[in-house]
Amino acid sequence: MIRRDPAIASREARRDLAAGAFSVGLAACLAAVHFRQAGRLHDDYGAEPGPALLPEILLAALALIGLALLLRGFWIGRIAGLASREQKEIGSAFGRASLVVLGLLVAAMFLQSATGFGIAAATASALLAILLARQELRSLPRAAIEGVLVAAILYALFRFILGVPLT
Amino acid sequence: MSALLDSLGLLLMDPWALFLCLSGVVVGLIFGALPGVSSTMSLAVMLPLTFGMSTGNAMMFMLGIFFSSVYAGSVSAILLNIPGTPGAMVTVLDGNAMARKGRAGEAMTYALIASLFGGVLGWIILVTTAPVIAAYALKFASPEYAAVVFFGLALVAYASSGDTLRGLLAGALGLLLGVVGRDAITDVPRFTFGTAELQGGLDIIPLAIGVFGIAEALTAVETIPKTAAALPARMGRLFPGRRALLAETPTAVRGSAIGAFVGAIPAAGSAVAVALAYALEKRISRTPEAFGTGVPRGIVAPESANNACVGGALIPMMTLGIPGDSITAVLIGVLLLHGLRPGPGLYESQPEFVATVYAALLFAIVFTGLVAGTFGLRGFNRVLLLPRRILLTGILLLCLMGAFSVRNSIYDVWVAIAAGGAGYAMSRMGVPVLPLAFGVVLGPILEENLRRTLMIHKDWTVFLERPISLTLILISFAVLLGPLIWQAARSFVQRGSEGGKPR
Amino acid sequence: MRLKSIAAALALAGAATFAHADSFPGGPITWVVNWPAGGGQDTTSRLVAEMLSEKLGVAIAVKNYSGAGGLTGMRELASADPDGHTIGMLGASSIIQQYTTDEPVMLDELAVLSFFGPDPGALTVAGGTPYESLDDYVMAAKESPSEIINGNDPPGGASYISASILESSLGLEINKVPYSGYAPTVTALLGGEVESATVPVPQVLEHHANGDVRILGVMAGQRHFLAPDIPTFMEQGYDVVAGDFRAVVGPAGIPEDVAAILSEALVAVLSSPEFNAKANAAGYMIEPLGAAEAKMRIMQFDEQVYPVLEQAGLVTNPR
Repeated sequence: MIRRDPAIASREARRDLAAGAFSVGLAACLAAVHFRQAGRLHDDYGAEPGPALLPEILLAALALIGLALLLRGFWIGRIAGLASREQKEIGSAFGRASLVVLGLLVAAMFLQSATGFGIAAATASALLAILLARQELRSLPRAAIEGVLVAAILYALFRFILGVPLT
Repeated sequence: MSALLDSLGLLLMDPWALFLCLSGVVVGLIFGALPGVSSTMSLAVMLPLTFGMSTGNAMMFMLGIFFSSVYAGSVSAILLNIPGTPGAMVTVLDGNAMARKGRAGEAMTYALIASLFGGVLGWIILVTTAPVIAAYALKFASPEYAAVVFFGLALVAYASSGDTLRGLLAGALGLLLGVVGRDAITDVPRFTFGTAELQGGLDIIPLAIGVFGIAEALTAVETIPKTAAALPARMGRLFPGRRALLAETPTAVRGSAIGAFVGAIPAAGSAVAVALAYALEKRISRTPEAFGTGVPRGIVAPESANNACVGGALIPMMTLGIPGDSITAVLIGVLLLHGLRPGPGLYESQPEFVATVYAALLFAIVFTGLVAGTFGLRGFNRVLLLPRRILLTGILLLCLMGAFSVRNSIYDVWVAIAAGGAGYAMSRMGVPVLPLAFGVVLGPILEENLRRTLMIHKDWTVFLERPISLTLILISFAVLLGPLIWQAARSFVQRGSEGGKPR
Repeated sequence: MRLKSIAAALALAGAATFAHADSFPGGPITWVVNWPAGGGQDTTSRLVAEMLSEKLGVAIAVKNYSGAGGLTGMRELASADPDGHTIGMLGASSIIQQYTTDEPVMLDELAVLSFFGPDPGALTVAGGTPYESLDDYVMAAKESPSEIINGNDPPGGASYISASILESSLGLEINKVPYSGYAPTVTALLGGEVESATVPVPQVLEHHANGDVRILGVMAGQRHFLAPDIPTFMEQGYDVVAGDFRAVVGPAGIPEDVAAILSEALVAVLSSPEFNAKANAAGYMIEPLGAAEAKMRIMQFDEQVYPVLEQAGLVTNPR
């Protein structure tokens, strides 16, 4: 994994650290849920190992993989240095545009519970088209109309031709 | 055999039957190309139309939809990077990678030809050896099942690209996601956090729509069009050339064989077949690192397997009356409503009915080839000529609506969005997503069958006492440990020659 | 039954949206199916919906809300507007789930409209086993408890409950091995992985006729119409009645007059010879009952199944 290029090495180190921290954290949270679950989960099922075994193996594996990634990240990072200025954006996993789009999708879902799927989809679609048109330096009002049209066509296809209850 | 020829002749002479099959194919091509709209759903939507048809005509219509919709799953996978059906989950990788290089037309042609090849080979296996395969499939009890999935996971361990540690992380995550929901053996809820929604588990399609479709769209919005070819600007040429196509024949044969056999094992399903076929091709390839960057083999293997599953799934349905998957369950429903109960009785006593079904499937394959080859490919590819802002907006909306359609559940849309964010974060961290998808598909099957085996036999040694499972386990270990030993030996030699340079 | 797909809908759905309020109180009906397309619940629903639509003169759109072991659909049904325009099919599993799941849908959140029919369990043994009669089987199970391997649903499923009722009524113990659905169970029975299975008659009838398996007895008050030569448990001296059933329900609170129209129309459809011919050909037992009698039948099942669940340690949501 170690490349000679220090910029790449430090990027890989940061990736390892992020992935490792995520795995260890997730394993810890899920383990808390798993071991505190009441009911029949931790019963003895005789010859059969029972429903608790596989999650436990997987949580242990996840934690171990996470630790290994952390160690490797520290190790490479120590050699190559973590802060390489030209690559600072990788510190956060998300770039700006994608974060905005993701937020838009989530917002559309909340809107959906109030207004129904059709209006939420049309709104999100118009905003998405505007966002993309801005990147492409094109007319925004036109993009909004295009977005609504796309939503209307797809909605009609699913709702009326396939009979999917998108309400 | 003569009954089959008779049926083929009779149906060929019947314009109404041919028209119904053709309509079925067109309906299937359109429905199947929409993400989240599976073959099962397409068939169920059209089910009431068959009430008034004769049994033969109903089968022509339904099998037309069946085969073409299974093929059409590759369309949204290649063009939009949205895996709309479990069978198309793997086609996304190389299919869309090829499309992004501006070779969408070729990718589509590879998918179509591989699908037809798989369909025909699956059909031949169905017609010639159905009773043999069915008897063999019955021998596949829980231990064998567990062993074959273990074999699949062993192949997958080396099928993921990039860093091994990160691949393992993705695999473990996928297996954990597969655990969510009620346990198949004890019905105990796991990781449901007390909610009702998670009790049914996470469906693979919303997850796949998220980690492939939405995550890819999120990456694409970051790429400003002038600087990089994030989306295929053109479809390129359609025909890849005869020699290039012929070179894929062995892959197509292997894929089809896997598909036909896995399809014949009840409840295995096309997701398992495509995972096995892809992993096998990658494992035996001399250039495994090329997989995922848009190689034809990565399209041909899953597509031939996926479509060979159609013939395979009909094997237990026709000979045993057991639905191999949810799609054949609908087909059995059609037959039941016509007063026919498929099973050993019908198979032996009514060869002309069996021949009609076989003939109908062949017509379905041929019509799919004709329609997709003449109009379909060009029509579908036209989608790529849409401006980027419309295409990306449409892709994201299709992802949301497709995820909803799987179970008519708004919660599945949340799953898709969350998986999209997670998939995007994973790609930024250099973690491959394919092992995650395979883990979700294969993990639950392995666990269920492993534990059921222990419930029945009460002893682990049973895996070594049964010939099929022993063979599979031995091969799996060879696959797992072989490269490690090879690598160790090679690095030992290199270390000797390069003077102990640290790795 | 956790099939990988899917939801479905009639092509009628489009038309349904624009349909006029011809006769039934006001417009089209949505029919909720809480299992994926292709299963028994789905096939029977589509069959009834088709004829009910003719009878009432309004369009009926069948929608599959699968997931969460049938709970998603039941929740959709229970939370719908109680105006009679959303109805659906209820099976034994939904009654069982009241006591075994988190956040279940309780029976009192639903209004029973009519009974569709029972789907009695049966005891079937693989052809290679030595059990020629029910007596053989019971004797062997008593001699060596937990040795006979029985294929059934996961705990809480209908055929698991049938096996449990068999155990508790006769004082036996068998090794209840779960499979996800009837198709894999029957496959395991044919392949000889399990020695017996407690799936309903239509699932094994064909293999019984072919001599691959033997149906030893039907767990119902009367013989199954598809297999009139197979005696019931009662006839053989064992008091075992168990199995699945189907009923049509809507959300609680449907106005009485609307519920009465629906209930009458359903009973009329279910009693029609045309419907019976189709349903019987497909293997479904029809027993049309009006709302009150249907409710009683369901309550009876509820009374029967609760102690069985309690005994099996499955109750997480006690009464």
